[in-house]
Parts: sequence; structure tokens; C-alpha cells
Amino acid sequence: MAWATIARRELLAYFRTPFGWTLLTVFLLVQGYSFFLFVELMAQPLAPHGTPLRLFLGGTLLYWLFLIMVVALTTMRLLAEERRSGTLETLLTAPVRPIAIVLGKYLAAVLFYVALWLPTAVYVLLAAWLAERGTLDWGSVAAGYLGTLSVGATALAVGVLCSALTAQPLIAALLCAASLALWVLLGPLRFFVSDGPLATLLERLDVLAQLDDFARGLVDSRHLLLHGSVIVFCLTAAVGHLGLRRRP
Amino acid sequence: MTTTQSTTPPALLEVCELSKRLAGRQVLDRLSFGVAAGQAVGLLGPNGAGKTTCMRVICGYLSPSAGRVCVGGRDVVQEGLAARRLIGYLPESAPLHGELRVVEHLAYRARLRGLHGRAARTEVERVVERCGLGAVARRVIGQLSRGYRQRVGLAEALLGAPPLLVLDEPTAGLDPNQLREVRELIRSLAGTQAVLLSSHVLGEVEALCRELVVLDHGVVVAKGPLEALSAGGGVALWVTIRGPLAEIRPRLEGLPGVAVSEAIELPLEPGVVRCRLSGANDAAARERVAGTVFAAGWGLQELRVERAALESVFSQLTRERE
Repeated sequence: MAWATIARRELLAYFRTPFGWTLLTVFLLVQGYSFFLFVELMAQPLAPHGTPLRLFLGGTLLYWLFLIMVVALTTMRLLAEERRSGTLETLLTAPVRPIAIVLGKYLAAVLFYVALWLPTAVYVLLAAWLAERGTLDWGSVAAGYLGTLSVGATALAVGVLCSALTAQPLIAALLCAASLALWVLLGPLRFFVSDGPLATLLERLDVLAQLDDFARGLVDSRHLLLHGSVIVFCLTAAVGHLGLRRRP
Repeated sequence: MTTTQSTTPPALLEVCELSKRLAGRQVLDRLSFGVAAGQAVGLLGPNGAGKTTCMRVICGYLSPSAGRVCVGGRDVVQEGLAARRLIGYLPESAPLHGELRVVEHLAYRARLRGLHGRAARTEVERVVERCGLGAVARRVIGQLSRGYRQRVGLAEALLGAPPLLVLDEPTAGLDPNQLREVRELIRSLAGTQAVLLSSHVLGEVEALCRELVVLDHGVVVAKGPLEALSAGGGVALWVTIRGPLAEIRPRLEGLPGVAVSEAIELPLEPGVVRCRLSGANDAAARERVAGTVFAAGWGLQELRVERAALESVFSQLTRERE
């Protein structure tokens, strides 16, 4: 299966270069520090309602800034670098379908994203150990991580599409970051429009609210469906763009 | 267009009336040629003639605007995957994954060609040995010289022993030693695999191919066996005669079908004249020249036939369209 071969190579490439390890280290340091801050904050008498995990899994601007940065950096070279270096030509002239190329690369990016988040489970276990028995809602924790995976997978699909559109990894990263920032800022726009279909649409697209639902332990299938649709659209567009040269 | 007859078996690669427009420009215009199994064909043309575009269409990277390309009877557009299985392609700059080791890169590409496990390992070992990469097999590609990188690209094209190899300027940028090694490698493939090789360097094509397709401004201007194309450029006759220049020139010019393009008295040998005659393409004309020299009582020191080099044929063919 060509997609599995491509995914394996891309995943190894993340860990064969200083880039992957640097990103992993910085990610864990910042996430560890922010988790510590949230625990400290929520321990204050005048702390807002909620749990540190709710803040940690999407409740702050820091989460979004970091998500955008990580996704843009993770996906920028996937196809743009292949195009820039010329290896895309040998890949597309090999007996491999464009869909296998895009799926393989996307899968590798998702697995690397999972590898980034996986060690943060230690923070949760630490919080569970420190908290009073029975106060940690494991359902909310699982839903929060599902939300992070769902939003991350959607953002990575946007990144793969941006990487397919250009031969410059830096431009792909900027395009991806701008698209994701637009997505994040789309929800709050609903406060500036009067009630109506547009307001409803913006509400449905509000990724901040979606992730807050997940962090509260609420798994809404509409959110998953929306994310799935965006993933399918972006990957299909990326496949279509790769196949463009083959059209007369 | 110059077309010379060649006795070739049915084509493994068939290019029929192939046209390609890119960015509003007609890059290829109704190209037709074929490559038989085991045959080495050179795609020759000046820079910008459309060689790379032609190869990209053959390998399925670009689609034709019109016409048809078949490899082993499979249409590269309709049955792209099946057709691409029959092709090993080396693009001009031999693009490789610089961060991988040679064997890792080749194993990755072997898996993409559907080889797995022991079959992939055996195939990688075969192409590493075939391309003389044993000494650098564990080295990171980014640290290799241009010559070795080119060989890795060639090894990649050989994976799975595809019946057709498409090599775009395979020796571009190599030093003389690397060039000789890569040429020997390509020459060793002829007979077992068909090779379509592009180059703008005539010596390259002359050294590696017996059949030629000459491309200029996206059009096939000549095709056929190398010897036949060279012969099409005509012959020149060099005659060195002991005798007076003032008499020799008019006597030779008086011969039917013969023109004296050059006649000089050799500076170091007074009384000896060297002439370059054109038009004396057949043996009868040459006999008339020799007869005239003997009849006049001059001394015939040399009579040499010089066939036109492929270079002059190439210049003539490509200049005609400018």
C-alpha cells in the first residue's frame, strides 16, 4: 500500500531531523508550563469557574496560537518541499496515485500531532494524583483530547492543502496560519451580526465554542461531522491540485 | 522532416501525433516516434526544443493536449498506473531525498513500485551493485558528489527492471570521469532495457544511441538510425595534388557536379595544393577527379572522403526552422 509507505517515510522524516525533536521539545515545555500556570490559577480563591484541563484543552488564546504554529510548521514542507526539490516529479511518475501521496502525508502529520500531545497525558495523570479522589471527570478528559484531535486533524488537512498549492514551504506555512487564524476568528464575528442565517452559520462554525463543548465533556456529533467534512474537502482539493498537471 | 528507414521491431513506446500547450505556448507539435524493446534512442535537440516536456508527458507527469502516448500498449493517460509501472524515469536534476541514506531512499522507492520485504531488499542490492554504489550505500545522499547522486537517480530508475528507461540529460553537469562512468552504465543497459535518452550534447547521443529523434521548437525535424542521418549531411572530398594551383582549380571546377569549396597551396610544401571538393558524393565523381589529375600529369598525394559529422547535420536541421 503506497499510502502506508509514504506515511512511514514522512513520519520517520519528522524524527530523523532536528526539526521534529525541536518542535516536540518546545511544545512540551510550553504546554507543561501553561498547565502549571492553569493549575496555580484555578487554585486561587477568586479563580473563574472551571477546571485547569478545560483551560489547557482549548480554553485560552495560548492554545490557539500554539496550535496554529505547530500545524503550520508540521505541514509546510509535506508537499511544497517535494515540489521545490523536484522529488514530486519522481513521486507522480511512480506507479502511485495522487490520493495515496496526499493520504500518506496527511496520516504522517496526524500521527506526529498525536505524538506531540501524547506525553501531555502525564500532566493529566499528575493532576489526577494531586486532586482529591473522584474529583477528576475522566469523561471530560477523554472528550477534551478527542476535541483536540478532531480540531488538530482538521487544521492539518488545511495545512496539507496549503502545502499542495505552492513550491515554497514558508509561503505554505503563512497561508496555513492565515487560514487557521481566520477560522478561529470566524466565531466571535457572530457578536457583530444581527440574528439571522448568517449568525446561525457563524455559530455553527465557531471552533472556540466547539472545543469548549469537548472540554466540558460534551461530544457533539455535528462538530465531528463538520470537521470530517473540512478534512475531506481539503484533502480532495489537494489531490485535485496534484493531478492538475495531468489534465490536457 | 528527414526520415530514414530503420528495421525495428514493434514499438514498446509509441508516441502518436503528440501535442502539448503550456502557458499558451505550443511546446510540442504533433510528435510521432517509437522506441522498440531493448533499443536505445536519443532525443536530441537544442535547449528549449521540448525534450523535457516530451519526456514528462511520456512518464505521465504532464498530460498531452492532443495525441497519444502508449507504453507496452497501455495509454499513459487512460491506464496511467499500469503504464507507469513499465517506466523507470530519471529527471534532469536527479531529485532525491537528501536526508536519507542511499539504501533507505532506494528501499522507499522500491516499496512504492510494489516491492516489499525480501524482494525489495534483493532489488535494492541489485541496483546498488549495478550502479557501483556499494561504497556509498550507507552514506546520506545530501553528502554525495554530483556523480554519485546521478547514479543514485539512475539506480532508482532501474528499480523493478522496467522495460523502458526514460533518462533526461543523464550526464548533465558531470566531470569527465563521472561522465564516462555513467555512460558506460547506460551503455551496459542497452539490449536488456529500452532507453530513451535526451540530450543537447551530440557526443552524448552519438556515444550511447544508434537511433535518433531530432527535435526543434517542439517538432520532430529528423529521425532514424544515426549513420543514415549523418550520411544525409553529405560528404566532402579532400584532394592533395602536386601541381600548379592556377591550373588545378579551373580543371577541377570544370568537372560535372563537382564544386571546389577550398583550394590552397600548402605553405610548408611549395607546389603542393590541397583542395576541398563538395558534390563528389558518389564513387564515379571521385574517379573523375582522380582521372583528371592523372591525365594532367600531376601527382596525386591524397584522396580522402570525409563524411559530414552529426554536428553539421544537427546545425543544418535546427537552423532551417529559425
